[in-house]
Amino acid sequence: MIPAILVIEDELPMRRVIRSALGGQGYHVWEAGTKRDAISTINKSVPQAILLDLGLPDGSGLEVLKVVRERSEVPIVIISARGEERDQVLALDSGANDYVTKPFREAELLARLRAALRSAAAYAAPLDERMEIGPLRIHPHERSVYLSGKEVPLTPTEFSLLQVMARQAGRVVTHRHLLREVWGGSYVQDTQYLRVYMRQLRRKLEQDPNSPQLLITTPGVGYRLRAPDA
Amino acid sequence: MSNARPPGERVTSRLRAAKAGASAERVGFVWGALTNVVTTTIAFWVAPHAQLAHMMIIHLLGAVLISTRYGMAVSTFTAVTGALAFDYFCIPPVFAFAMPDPRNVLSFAGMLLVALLVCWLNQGVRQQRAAARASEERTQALCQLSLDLSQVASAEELFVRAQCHLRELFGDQAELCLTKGEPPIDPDFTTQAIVDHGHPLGYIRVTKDGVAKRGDRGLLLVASADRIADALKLLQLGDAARRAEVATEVERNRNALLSAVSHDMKTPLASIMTAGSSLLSSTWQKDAPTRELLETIVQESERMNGLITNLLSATRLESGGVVLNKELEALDDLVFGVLSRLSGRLSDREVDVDIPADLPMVSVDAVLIDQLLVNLLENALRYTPSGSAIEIRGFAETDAVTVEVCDHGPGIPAAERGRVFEKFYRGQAAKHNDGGTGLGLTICRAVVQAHDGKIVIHGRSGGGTKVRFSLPSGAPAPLAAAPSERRPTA
Repeated sequence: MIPAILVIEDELPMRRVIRSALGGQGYHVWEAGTKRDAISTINKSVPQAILLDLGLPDGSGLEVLKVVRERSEVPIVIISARGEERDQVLALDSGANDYVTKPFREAELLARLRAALRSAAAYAAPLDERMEIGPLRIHPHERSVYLSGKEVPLTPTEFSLLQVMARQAGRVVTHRHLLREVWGGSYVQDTQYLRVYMRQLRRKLEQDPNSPQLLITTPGVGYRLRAPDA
Repeated sequence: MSNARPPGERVTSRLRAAKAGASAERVGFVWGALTNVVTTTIAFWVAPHAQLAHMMIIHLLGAVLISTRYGMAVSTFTAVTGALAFDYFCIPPVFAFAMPDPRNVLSFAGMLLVALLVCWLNQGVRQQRAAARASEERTQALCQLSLDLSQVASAEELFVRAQCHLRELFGDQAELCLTKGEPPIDPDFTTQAIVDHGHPLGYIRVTKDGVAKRGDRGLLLVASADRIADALKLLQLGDAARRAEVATEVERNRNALLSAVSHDMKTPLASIMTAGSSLLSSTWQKDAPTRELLETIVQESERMNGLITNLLSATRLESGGVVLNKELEALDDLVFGVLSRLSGRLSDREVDVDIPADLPMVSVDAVLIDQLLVNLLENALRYTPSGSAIEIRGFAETDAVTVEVCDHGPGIPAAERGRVFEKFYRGQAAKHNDGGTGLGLTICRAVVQAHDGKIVIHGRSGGGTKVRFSLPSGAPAPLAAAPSERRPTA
C-alpha cells in the first residue's frame, strides 16, 4: 500500500515543495492549508503520517495535534521555525513524534518522516523484541547491549535510558519523556539526572565521548539516538 | 534687553514718585487744617448750649477722621492744632490759651492724648491693611507667574512671558537674562540671581524704584527668581524626558520592524532552500555546472537564513522580549553538541577542548547558550587563518562557571574590544566581505547578560583572541542525589 501523508501547512510554496519531495518518494500527498481543512480531512480518513506546521492562519497546529491524538496514534512530524523550541517541546510532549526546523533540506524532512513511520511500527512491536540500530544491538529480554558485536556492561538505569531512545531511534525524545519513562513521573523536572546518565552512557557507547555520533543533544528539546539511515 | 532709557530720565522718574507722595501729604495738611476749622466753628457755635465734653468730642472726631486717611504727620498735626483750637476757642477764658482752672488742663491733656492715641492706632491698622494688600498682590502675582510659566513649551516662550510679568511687577525697565554671565553694575538697579541648587541660570535686573514700589523689601523679586528657576528646571526635565521617550519609541519601532521583516523573509527562504535541496537530490540527471548552481542556491539560502536568524535574535534579545527557558545543563554537553554540528566546517581545524567532567551544571536556556557557542566558534573560524587551532576551556570559579574560546588569529586591538559588542559594529580587520554582519558578538553579549553573566575579550600573548564568558553556577553536580537504580518502566 502506498502511504498517504497529510501535509498541513498554510504557505502554498512550502506545500508545493513538500508535495514534490514526497511525491518523488512515491508517497500520496494530501494537503490542508488551515486548521479547519485539516480536521475535516482527518475526520474523513486518517493518513499514514502527518506533517504539521504549528502556525496556521485559523489556529495553532497544537489544536490539530490534540484532535488527531484523540482518535489515532498516526505518526506526526511537526514543521516549525527556529525560536519556537518551546512550542516544539510542547508538541512533542502532547504526542507529536518528531519535528523539523525550517528551513530544512529535503533529505532531512524525508529522514524524519521515515523515522516517524518506522518507530510507529517499532512501538507496535512486542516490548522484548531484539533491536538493531546502527552498530548497536539491544536484547531487551536479557537486558544486554552489544556495540559492534561486543557486549557493553550497562547499569539498569543506563539500559532503560538507551532502551527508551532505541524504541524511538532517529527521533528526538524530550527530556520530560525520558525522565518519565526511566525515573518516573515525579522526576520530570530533574534534567540533571539525565545529563549525568547521558554522560555515562556516552562514555560507554561513543568512540569519542567528546564528539558524540550516536547520542545526539538537541539543545532545549532532548536527545536523539541516531539511526543509520536518518 | 539693554536699558534704552537715558540716566537723566531715571532721576526725573524718581523725583516724580517722590513728588507724588509729597503732594498727597500736603493735601492732607490742608484737609487737617480745614477739618479743624469746621470742628472749631461747630464747637464755637454750639458752645452756649453745650458742655466742654461735647465740644471736645467734636474736635476728637475731626482728628480721628483725618487719621483714617492720612499718615502719622498729618494726623499729629491735626490732633495738635485741633487741641490748640479747642483750648483757644472753647476752654474758658475764651480767645486765650491760658487755663486757670486745673480741671480744664486735664481736659485739654486728655483730649490731646486720646487724639494722638487714636491716630497711632489707626496708623497701625492702615499699615497692616497695606501689608495684607501687598502680600495678597504678591501672592497673586507669583501664582500668575507660575501658572503662566508652567504652560510654556520652550525656553524662548518662557523668556518672553517671564519678562512680560517682571515688567508688569517692577516697571518697564525690568530685564531678564537667561544666560550665564555677570550683570552690568549700576547703582540704580537691583540684581537678583536665578539659581538652581547653586547652579546659576541667569539673573533679573530691576530698578531700585521698581523694588521700592512693591514695598516688600524685595521679597517679590526673590520669589519671582525662584519661580523662573523652577520653570526652567521643569522645562529641562520635560525636554530630557521627551527626548528619552522619543529614543525609546524609535528603538522599539526599529526592533519591531526588523523582527517583522526578518520573520517574513524566513518563510520564502525556507521554501527556496527546500526546493533547491529537492532538485539537488532528485534522480534527474545533472551536469556539473547545474549541480554547482543548485548547491549555491542551497548554501546561500542557508547562509542568508543564518543572517536573518541573527538579526531576529539580536532585536528580540535587545528588546527584552525573550523569556528564558532555563534548565540545568552540562556545558560540555552543549559544547560537544555545537562541535559535532559544525564538524564539517571544523574539519581542517584542531579543536582542543578542556572541560572537566565534574564542572558544575548551570541553569541556562540551552538554545541561547547554543547560539552563543555557535557565534563564538563561527567568529573563530571566520577571522583566523584556516588550519589554525581553536581551544575551548571550561573551569569553575567560586560562584560561576567560565568558558574561554581562544584562537590564533590576528586578535582584536585593545581599543576595539569593547566596541565589537555593539550592534552592527565591525572590527577594523573585519571590513572586507567576509559574510559577517556585526551582530554575532552583540547576540553573545545579550545572551550572557540575560543570564546575569559576563563576557569579555582578552588578547593573547602569542597573538589571537580569547573570549571569556562566565555564567552564575547552579547546584553542584547532583550525581550522589540521583535516585538509586530502578527497574525500567519502559
